[in-house]
Amino acid sequence: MKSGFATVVTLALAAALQWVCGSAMAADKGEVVVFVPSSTNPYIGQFEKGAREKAAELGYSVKVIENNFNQSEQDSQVQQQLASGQKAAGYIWWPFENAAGIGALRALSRSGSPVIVSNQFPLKGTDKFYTAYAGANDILSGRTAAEMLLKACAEPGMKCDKGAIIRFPAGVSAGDDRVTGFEQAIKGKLDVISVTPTAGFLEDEGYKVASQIIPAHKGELTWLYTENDSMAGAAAQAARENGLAPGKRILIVGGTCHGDSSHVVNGDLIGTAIQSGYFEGWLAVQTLVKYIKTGKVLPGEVYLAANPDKPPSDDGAPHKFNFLPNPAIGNSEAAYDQAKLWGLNAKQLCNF
Amino acid sequence: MTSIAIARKSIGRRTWRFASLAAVATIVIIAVVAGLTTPAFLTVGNGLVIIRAASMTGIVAIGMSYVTLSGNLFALSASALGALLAVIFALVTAQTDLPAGIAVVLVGAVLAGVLQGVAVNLTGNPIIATLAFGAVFRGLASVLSGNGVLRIHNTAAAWIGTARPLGVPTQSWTFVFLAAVSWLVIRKARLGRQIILSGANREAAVASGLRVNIVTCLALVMLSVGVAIVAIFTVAQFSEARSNLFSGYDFDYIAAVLVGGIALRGGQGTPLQAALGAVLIALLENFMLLNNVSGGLLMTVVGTVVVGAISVFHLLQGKNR
Repeated sequence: MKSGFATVVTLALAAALQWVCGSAMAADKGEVVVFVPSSTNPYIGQFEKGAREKAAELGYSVKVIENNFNQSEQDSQVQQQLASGQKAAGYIWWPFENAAGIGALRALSRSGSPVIVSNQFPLKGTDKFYTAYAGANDILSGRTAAEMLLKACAEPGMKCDKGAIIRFPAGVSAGDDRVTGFEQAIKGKLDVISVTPTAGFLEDEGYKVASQIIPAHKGELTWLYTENDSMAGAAAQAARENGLAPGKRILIVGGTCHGDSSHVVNGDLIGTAIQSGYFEGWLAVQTLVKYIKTGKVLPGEVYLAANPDKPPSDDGAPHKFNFLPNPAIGNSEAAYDQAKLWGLNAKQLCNF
Repeated sequence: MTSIAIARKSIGRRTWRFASLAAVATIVIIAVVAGLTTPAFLTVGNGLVIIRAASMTGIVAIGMSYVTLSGNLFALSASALGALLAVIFALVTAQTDLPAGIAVVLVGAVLAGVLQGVAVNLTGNPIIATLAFGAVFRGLASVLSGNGVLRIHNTAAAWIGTARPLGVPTQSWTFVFLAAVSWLVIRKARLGRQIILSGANREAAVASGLRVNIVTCLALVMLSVGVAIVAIFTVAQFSEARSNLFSGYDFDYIAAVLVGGIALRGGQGTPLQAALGAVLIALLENFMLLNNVSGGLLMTVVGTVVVGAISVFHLLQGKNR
């Protein structure tokens, strides 16, 4: 009995030692601390996955600190992290509320470790508080959607003039930026009847607004922009219920692949574009490590190339602003199947 | 005095009749103003749109009204439970078939209601207990879904989510049916009177031999079944589920109950008032949406209506007691 117990203890200790040593070896370059809202949002789940995998590849460990979509909670987490005295190799900062989180960002910047801001484009006047920005460019996202729409409008037999925008909830800066990019690109070419915010980012919230907007403007609506494909798919459903065939009598674009791709491949949407949560997390870690290795930040911005197979190099210094590409995808099964970014296909990058 | 007699007396009929009339009058006033100022408003099509918009909130609000009427304020776990049940429905339906998906979700809903009822009875605090359960439900939804999108490809489910018998969405039919049934339950059934008595005067209910703890459990089960129905409809309509579904919806459910004029401390009102509250809010939102009112102003107006409704009904209930 005693011998059996001793064996179990020995095996457990051996396993624990191997785990500790393995972790230490994988993390011998230090720990990257990532502050994000909750991964119950699948996009954020993908962000974390990308960050972890890139960090492991580059020899770092990752500690993810999630908040429940609450800036006060995130601020408190920052204070606790700093008070712990644990030296981080660097921080990745995705604030829940960009403006409200400035105090916490300032505190992180004073820790001496580099800080990479991601997802929420930094506000003016906060340049000193972060090392670099790495992530999506929502103005570019809106512009890409507008360019797809204008291209579809130029097809023979299509008539485009008035349309509507269904946007993310009021106060979401990504929603503001996408509308800005979209409106800049269609200025003088298309008319916007209304810009209506939803209560969220998903199908049910998009449907609730689209099912009210479409019948009210049925005779004049020729296009809809919804800021992501989840809401665009729901808008296509609402359009069909109101006798407007998507792709024929009304053109619908979400502009960021998210959710059910069937609406893209069956032609309900005029197309989509890849904005990958996985690669946003991946890029944030890569940018951090590039800074750690070089100790330099190049001024200005860089739009990373949308190479289908090859991800951007880990070498060299990062820029102050490092933007993910937004490659467009056509609305056919073949186009969707062939679409790739940095070695991963659209199904891998959009199915979250 | 029998428990039923106490219940009847405690209903405070004048107050809740006034509340019902106030909700209906407000709906009529908004409809008239909107009809005169907004050309697209007063159409049959837009009327159906408003009922459809009210349906999903209204179905849960009807269930929530049982919790409020039983004297347990609100359950702050409804939106999270909806996400969990949606994830379970998608998982089971994808692996087996639609009847199995519906059966498992309904059993899960009953279980969730009973567990929350036990916790509320043990802690004596429905807000804290259901808030904690909300975290559990959302976390489980996240774990079960792997933080991904769960898709189903089921024709029967898609029919449930998108069909329009006689031109009216299935969700709206269900909402109207449940509103009628819930009114009958609260006004005509023994359980309804027990819920009212538990909320109106807990001590009297206990003294008259009523098992208040069981009533609390049943009220939470009825809410959970309402949440399950909405979860099934949502997954069926869009053929997918995620763990972050219904985030932030708890305020909408509670607002519908309060705007309908159901007494915050319980014992006064009917689920029909919660249904009317959901219609009123949907009407208001539709009016502002058609007039391109900003999201911030829309939130401000709905919040103000809720505060106004609570204040007026609170004052009236004070006078009535």
